[in-house]
Amino acid sequence: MSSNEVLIEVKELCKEFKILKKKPGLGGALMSLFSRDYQTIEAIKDISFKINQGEIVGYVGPNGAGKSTTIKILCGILYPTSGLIEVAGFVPSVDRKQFAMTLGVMFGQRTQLWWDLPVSESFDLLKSIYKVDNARYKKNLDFFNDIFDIKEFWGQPVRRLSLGQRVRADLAAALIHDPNVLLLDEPTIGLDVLARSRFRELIKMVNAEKKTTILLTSHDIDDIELIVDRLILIDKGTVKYDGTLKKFLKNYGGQKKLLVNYSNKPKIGKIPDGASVQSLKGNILEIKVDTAIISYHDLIKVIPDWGKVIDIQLESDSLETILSELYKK
Amino acid sequence: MFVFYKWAVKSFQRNLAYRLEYFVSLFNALLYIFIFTSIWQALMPENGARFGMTRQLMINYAVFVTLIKTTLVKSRDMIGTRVRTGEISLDLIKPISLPVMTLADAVGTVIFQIFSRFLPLIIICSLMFDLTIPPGIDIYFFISYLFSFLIFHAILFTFGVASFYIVENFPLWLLNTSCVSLLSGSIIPLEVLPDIVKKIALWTPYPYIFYLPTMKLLKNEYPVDHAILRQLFFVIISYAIGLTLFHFGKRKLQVQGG
Ligand SMILES: Nc1ncnc2c1ncn2[C@@H]1O[C@H](COP(=O)(O)OP(=O)(O)O)[C@@H](O)[C@H]1O
Ligand SMILES: [Mg+2]
Repeated sequence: MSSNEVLIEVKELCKEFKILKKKPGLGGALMSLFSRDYQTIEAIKDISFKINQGEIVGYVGPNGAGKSTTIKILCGILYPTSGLIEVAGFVPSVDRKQFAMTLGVMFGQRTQLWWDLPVSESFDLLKSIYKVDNARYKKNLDFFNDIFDIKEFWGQPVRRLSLGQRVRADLAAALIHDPNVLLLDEPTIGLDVLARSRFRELIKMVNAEKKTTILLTSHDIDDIELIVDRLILIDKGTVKYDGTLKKFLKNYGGQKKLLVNYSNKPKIGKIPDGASVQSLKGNILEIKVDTAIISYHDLIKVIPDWGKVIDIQLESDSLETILSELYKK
Repeated sequence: MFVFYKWAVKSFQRNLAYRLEYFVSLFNALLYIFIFTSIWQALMPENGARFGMTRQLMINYAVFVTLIKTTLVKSRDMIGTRVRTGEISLDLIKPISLPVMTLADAVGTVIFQIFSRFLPLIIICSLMFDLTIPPGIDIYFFISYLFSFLIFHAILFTFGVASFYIVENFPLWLLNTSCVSLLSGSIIPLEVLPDIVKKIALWTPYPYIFYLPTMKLLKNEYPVDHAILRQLFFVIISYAIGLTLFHFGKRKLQVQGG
């Protein structure tokens, strides 16, 4: 799938914001006219990662972790305080204009389309801005129309689109010039369940067809679970995890449970090390399992000793529970 | 270059979307003209001159400066607003520079306003007042008008970009609006101001926006020496300041939100 060419490289990135300290009250407000106290916020402390061509990476972390700030630095909108950034061979803040030609961006809460123009006119303008030739423009529009159905609202002014339509239009707009890199900041925010699942399919399809490298932030865990191969977890401006989603679930999904349904109330004998009974409700026994100590294989051997088994179910923590546990720490 | 043209055309089209704003602005301009011609009618002597101007000249000034103003003015702080809402992000991810973008936007708007405001207003005014074709319509007037447009754009750009440094740039914007009202001749010609203020004003770019081209139009002579050169000087100075602020401001910009 992904070739091994590094497309995005971030090294020891740090970003500070200087904000004015507000003093309380009217006196404070007057004071701050004369003496200004600045406070420094380290939005990003030390972040490094590399992303290869063609990867889809989920960038997650609690509110205020620094996700949007990272995305804005990767776009060249914000200047890093220190650190190295290279995307598709460019230093975004320095080569902003050339770099923009290979970059597609979407911020879920905003639109890059012109509010008061019909969708078609916005695309026409984007076509000239990104110097997309006629053949490629037509080919891309056909592709987007097949999967995004943009013809449905092609002639309508952007301000009259539904949120779902607007998001589809914006995604198509971000991709009209075949960017190498697609950065998505909370692209599914506010969408209903159906529109979300449709959006996920679009993203996967774009990645498969065009080999676009995608970095995605989302609060919707399903977005992450269903779209990405790799996860970068950040908190308070530092990287907490960087690796495959599978490995993440394996490493942090410590809590695993077996639900055993017996035909009668089971008579529980000696419980092997690494397992413990969490509850027994009627005929259903809930066993917590630490797979580092005991394997399912060994545990399942003992279970029939306690009664006649009708059904066994395996449960592990969802990404959502794992993340919210991690965020709490 | 083609992008610039396209952008300007779209800006023209976008202006079409605001019908209410259009009619209000038309009405507003008429009101202005009506009020100021009445004031000058009352204030100026029937014969002779006051402030070095005749009554007829003063009335014509009020009409023509308002007409010129309706073509140029779009004094919304587009950049400052977009910085505060965070929409500026979406301008900065495009492979066009912000100054060029806003200039293309302004060109489209001005062309729109010439057709949609200037033309109907001049027809209405020629019915209401007995206007004669002003003597100063020639190539020099159009050069002056072009420079006026550029100075005005550069000033609005500069004060907009101030929001890269101070997000709440509104006080500065207000200051600029006051300077435009007082010093640019957009309401009263500079002759009415005290001599010392007039002298100082000529060292700022403001009088070169409305006062200069209007006087040229009405009297067929410029009120100051080397007028076009001075205008050119202020075109260059205003852009130099605006672009320098922009260049260093990019590093300072702090875009809030997602
Ligand atoms: N323009 C700004 N000025 C001051 N502080 C900011 C600004 N933008 C973001 N921050 C701060 O930086 C931190 C990271 O913000 P952000 O990147 O938006 O987080 P996330 O997108 O992960 O929720 C937060 O503490 C936020 O308050
Ligand atoms: Mg965010």
